[in-house]
Amino acid sequence: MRRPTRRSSRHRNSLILLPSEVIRRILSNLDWRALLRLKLVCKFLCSVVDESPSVQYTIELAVCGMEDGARTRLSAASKLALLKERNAAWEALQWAESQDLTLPQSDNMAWELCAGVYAQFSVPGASTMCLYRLPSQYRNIPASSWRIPLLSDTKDFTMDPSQDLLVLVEKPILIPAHNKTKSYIRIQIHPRSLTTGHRHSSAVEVIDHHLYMRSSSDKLEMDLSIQACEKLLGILIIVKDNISELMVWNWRTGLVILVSQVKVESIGTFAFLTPQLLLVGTVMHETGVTEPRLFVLDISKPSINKVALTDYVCVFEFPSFDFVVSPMKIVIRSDPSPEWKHNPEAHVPFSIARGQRLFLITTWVEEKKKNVSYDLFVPANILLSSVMALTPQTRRRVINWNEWGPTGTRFLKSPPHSHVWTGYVFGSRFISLVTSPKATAGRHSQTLQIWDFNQLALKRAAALGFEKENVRLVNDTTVVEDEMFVERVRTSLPYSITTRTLPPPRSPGEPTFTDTMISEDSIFLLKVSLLTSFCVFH
Amino acid sequence: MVHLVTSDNVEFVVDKEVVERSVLIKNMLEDVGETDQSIPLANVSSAVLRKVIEYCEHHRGEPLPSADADQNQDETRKRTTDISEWDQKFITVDQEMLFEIILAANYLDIKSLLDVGCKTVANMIKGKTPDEIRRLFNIVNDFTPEEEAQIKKENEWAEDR
Repeated sequence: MRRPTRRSSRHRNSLILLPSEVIRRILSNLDWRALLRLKLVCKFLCSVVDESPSVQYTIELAVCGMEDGARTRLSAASKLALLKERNAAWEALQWAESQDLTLPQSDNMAWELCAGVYAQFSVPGASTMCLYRLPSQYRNIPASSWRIPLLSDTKDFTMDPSQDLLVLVEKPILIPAHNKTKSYIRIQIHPRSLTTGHRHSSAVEVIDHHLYMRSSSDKLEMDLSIQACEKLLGILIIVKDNISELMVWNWRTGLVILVSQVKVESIGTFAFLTPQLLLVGTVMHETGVTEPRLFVLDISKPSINKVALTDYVCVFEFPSFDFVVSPMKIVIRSDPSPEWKHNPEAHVPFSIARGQRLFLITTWVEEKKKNVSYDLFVPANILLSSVMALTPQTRRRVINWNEWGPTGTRFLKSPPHSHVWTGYVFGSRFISLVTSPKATAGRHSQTLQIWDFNQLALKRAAALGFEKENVRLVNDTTVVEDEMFVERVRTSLPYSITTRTLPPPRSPGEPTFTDTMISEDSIFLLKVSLLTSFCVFH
Repeated sequence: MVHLVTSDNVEFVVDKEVVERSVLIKNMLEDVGETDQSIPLANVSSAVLRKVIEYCEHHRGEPLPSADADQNQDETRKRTTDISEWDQKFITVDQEMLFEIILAANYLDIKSLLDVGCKTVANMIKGKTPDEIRRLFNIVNDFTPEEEAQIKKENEWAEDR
């Protein structure tokens, strides 16, 4: 590094005359943007920024949407090298390692892929759950698998490996009407330790919930979805033709944070936008008009009063469907939960940054007895910046599609993705398995596509030139011209598509892959027809 | 008590416990053992040493940051995310004195004081344009217009628009 010489005592207080270890210490307190801006000050600072591994690591982390893992003994230079190696692997989609997992021989199984841990068991009857920790050579995570005992009648579960949390939901029981009491459903939720399956040391033993029905019913057909975010646990229960209820608890204390009970058609899906804001997707039946919408509810203060969907902070509107089209269903996907980070005990060098989340919102519509689905891709910060722009007292603000959609999202007819194997989103990435309909010599050709919505990485890639054979930047506007919509739907949020052709089946009789899922460092490929999943670790 | 002599030949007599916040002096004292001889500090003026001793007096009795934590930059960063109210007031000095204190803390090896100084300089840099930074710290722009335009172009993607 060239360092200007001291010219006069008047310049004694110049920053650049400080010893270089002091300058590095000063720089370690600056964010990546301030660091890049320092390059413009003078040649000396430009070289400090370019040549210091810890500065380069700070910048690279920010651009990749990653956060430092802090408690590792690795130097900034080796973490930077690991990070670059990881980025290169995601671009080239080169497998480092692969392993096969076997699915249970059952028609009905419960599974979840969360933050590098895959868990499954067959319903009903299984007494244990199998868990697999996916390895990562870049982040020093070894592969492991273990089993834990289940409740006698486990219906569903969720987990958060960073908090050693497993939440088991017991099969709900219908309690019929009796002595003027309405009929209700009793649901017991058990927070457990993910490592042992026994009681979680910082959680309540059980959350006992009674869901009162709107009308008597002797049948119990229900859908349940469950999600954890930090100390919060959200459950959406939809009882067919009866009622839907969204509940949020603090699973550590058992305190109720939110109860929202509405008629059955209303709440279709939910996700945590932050630990203070809940995103609720509906296909609303209002005065005969049906359209998908995204409500934002404030859950920063606990409330035991049941709230209807009228007490919301704001609502994001979708493009208007033609009146002959009926939206049927809406599902939000995002993983991991907003504030999720690795357990510090795991000593990972880096992991996905908080807020680096893509929401994929799928809407199914019916037109002329045909079901069609559309996907809306929106990064968390687009939704958050709209919410943060409102004054804190704002309630029931309607955010029109044109205010947020055209430049902040991509809206298109759904690319191929499973509706069963729902782990197709992780961080800012979406994964899709494309099977070309044209069979070459009796074989299907299959391609993996990874769509990445990390805007900073895209901006840098576009500015610094982008020449990778298998990576394409999508900057043009998507126009959905279907008759389904009142107007053409134009969206232009940039994203990149990385593709890789999958090896063909080894023999003509061997089935092709059916689905794919994505995690922090790994990709799953499934061959469900053989009841074997082929899992590729990245 | 320890005797310190500054670059401008002023003698300070300080409690051993206070002055041992400086790892340099602590090591020196361990090497030479109990002595009445004064320690010369050729790089520190009396005005600066007075401030440094004021800092060490105030933080008397607080645990020293471990050498282990210092090896890990991230730990260091975490420790200094905020400057305490007293430190903030203490470090509110003119820029020349700020730099002198940083240099003295670096020379005397007083990690917590060095962190307060570095954090303060970082806060001065935050949110400023390159030109404002140059003026603030008496830095001459030694780029040719072409070089400057080139870096600006390379940096364009990073600007928050």
